[in-house]
Amino acid sequence: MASSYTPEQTTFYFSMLTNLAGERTGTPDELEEFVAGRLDAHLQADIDKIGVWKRVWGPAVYQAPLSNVADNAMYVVRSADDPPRIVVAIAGTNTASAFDILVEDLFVEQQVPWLWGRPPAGMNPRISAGTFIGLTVLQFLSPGPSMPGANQRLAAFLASAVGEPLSLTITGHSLGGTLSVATALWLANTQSAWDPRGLAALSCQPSAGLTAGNADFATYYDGLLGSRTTRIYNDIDTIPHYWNDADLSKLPSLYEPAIASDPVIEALAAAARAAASGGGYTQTNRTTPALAGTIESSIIKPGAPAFENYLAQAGYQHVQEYLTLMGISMSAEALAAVDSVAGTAAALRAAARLRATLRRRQAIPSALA
Amino acid sequence: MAYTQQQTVFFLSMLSNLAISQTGTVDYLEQYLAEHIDAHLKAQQGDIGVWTRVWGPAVYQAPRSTVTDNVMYVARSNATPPQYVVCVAGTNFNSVFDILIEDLFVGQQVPWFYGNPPSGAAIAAGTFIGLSVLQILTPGAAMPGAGQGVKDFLKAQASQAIQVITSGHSLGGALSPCLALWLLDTQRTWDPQSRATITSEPSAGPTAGNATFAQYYDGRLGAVTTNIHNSLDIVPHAWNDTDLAALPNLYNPPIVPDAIVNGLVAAARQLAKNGSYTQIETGLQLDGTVNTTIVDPKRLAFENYLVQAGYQHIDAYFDLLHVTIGSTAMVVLREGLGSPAALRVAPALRARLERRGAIAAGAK
Repeated sequence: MASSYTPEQTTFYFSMLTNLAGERTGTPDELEEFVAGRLDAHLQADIDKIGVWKRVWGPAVYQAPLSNVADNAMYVVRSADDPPRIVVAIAGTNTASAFDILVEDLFVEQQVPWLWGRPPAGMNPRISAGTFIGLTVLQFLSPGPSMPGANQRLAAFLASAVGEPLSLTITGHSLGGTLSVATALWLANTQSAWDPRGLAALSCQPSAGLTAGNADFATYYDGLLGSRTTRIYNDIDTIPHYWNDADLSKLPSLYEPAIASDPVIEALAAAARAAASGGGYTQTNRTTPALAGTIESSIIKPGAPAFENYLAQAGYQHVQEYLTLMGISMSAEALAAVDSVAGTAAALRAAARLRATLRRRQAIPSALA
Repeated sequence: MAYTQQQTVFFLSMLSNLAISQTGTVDYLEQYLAEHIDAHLKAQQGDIGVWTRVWGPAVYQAPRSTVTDNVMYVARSNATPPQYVVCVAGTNFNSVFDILIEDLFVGQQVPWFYGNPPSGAAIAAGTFIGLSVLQILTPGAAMPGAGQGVKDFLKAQASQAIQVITSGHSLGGALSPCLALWLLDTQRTWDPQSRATITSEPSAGPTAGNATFAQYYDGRLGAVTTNIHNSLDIVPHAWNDTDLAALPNLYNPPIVPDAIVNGLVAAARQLAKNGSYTQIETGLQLDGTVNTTIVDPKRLAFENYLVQAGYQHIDAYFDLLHVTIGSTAMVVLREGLGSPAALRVAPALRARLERRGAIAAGAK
């Protein structure tokens, strides 16, 4: 069946659907069951746009101890094309939405050496602790007993799935965008183990991601996968501005003059710059041009504090604006789910926590908190 | 009778866990803990001598958590030279029993990148994450050492000769030696005159890292570390394969391992099998005794096993070390780290083993 979406649009569509569990609570088995059912319904309903695809692994849901939501999720779909396309789609984490981690020093201040491959001598690629934790979860994640690929980790599944030449694309949005870069590089570094005949043409399509690691990591990544990576980012999305210092410095005035900068936003950006300082954080595919977002003035409330207008706009630019820029339509259900974990709803939910943390650090006067 | 140095440090270490059942903001939890630590330092001055809380407590809360995911505080003695005991709580974001099948914390390792370790020295990802938290943790505005990391705090104290002792129980027992090694391997940056002597007294900890790491640790700090284990505590049996293999029959008799106990141990061995996990040298092996009074014949063997494991992980150390902490505090420690905590986690452990196909659904 002909499809109306380009491969990039289709891949982006799969990336957005990783968030179908939204804020839903339950056991991993229940959440996997729910996402599987809703995902299959979407694959069927949108067949004229995306073509024929089948869910072949997962969804696999990771739940941190004491959590009852889908903290991480990943699934794999395969097209009926010849040669087939396989897409590995990775959700941003839910426990910590991209907005929740903006003042999480732990995730950015600490770095871990890149443990795979053989970087050239003198090169010291490192990733943030947050990227490392997320990548570790994905490497060890396996779907529950009633899902395809039950109890099989991603690398083991790919070893069994790659029996002919095919294309393999890793994708994710937001924190999932960051994780898709790390996952793609890990798979490239270990390809001889899961694909000894080199049948899979590996590519990556990260969107709206934060930096994964330092400048050497970006250089190492770009050398191996840069030409096979389609990096998608909206120039007025705050999240891809994290954690490169020059990019962070642009944040307070990002929505001026529509939304004036204010002390809380400035403190937030200053805290982010302090946490990331010395980390040398650099985007992979840094020279890829950004998509040009447009400020959504209809959601700016004249009477609301600038901080809230800023976060609401940041949430909008992090989710809805991509649909416009990519020419994608989503079901109301899927849009609500992704908004709840990555959009305006997630940004506003994080607002109180961000303020409290800034206040605790005495980065803003208590009158503002 | 006054406590020995060893008993005193154990007592101070256990105080870091007193907020384990509390929920609230970081500031609230620090305040709560500060009050309780101070009250206990005062109440048992006859046993421990005069100690003052001089940094923290500092509480780390993971995003959207409401509990004390990590805790650290420092107490100072009025001895000459002063002793600074850096106390690390067992992490709370999961109970120590929960982590027995948490792949990601043990299946992956991170190289030890301080000092000059032999090639291949590595710690578990879980240890790495915990150590990373401790390295950047700072107390809130109302606490001593506000806004100051523990290393910067010690730097300010090391204008004279001082003793630094890191201590912690349970997961804190894995983290505290790593903290000591990190302080030693970076001493030039915070104490260029080497005025601080660094030692460690961990208890009830699982392995922190692999054999090469343990060898490196023992070479650097083995002589000044007292690693305390109760022989019947399951936690120090994780993650060394030989030690894990001894677990099913640890309480047999009277507790004969059932399919769930065997499934749990098999899953743990599977996770750790390529990690060559090795304990740092055990300085003090305590000989535990099975507490038969808490074995309930009406319970599943699995549940009796967990109840016993909880007892051996908390109560037994107090008995064997002849330390007391007051009955209210004992209840808190048991609830968070002992038998009730272990029993509480039983359904989740079962569900996970079933999900993985490690035991049949409804297995007994």
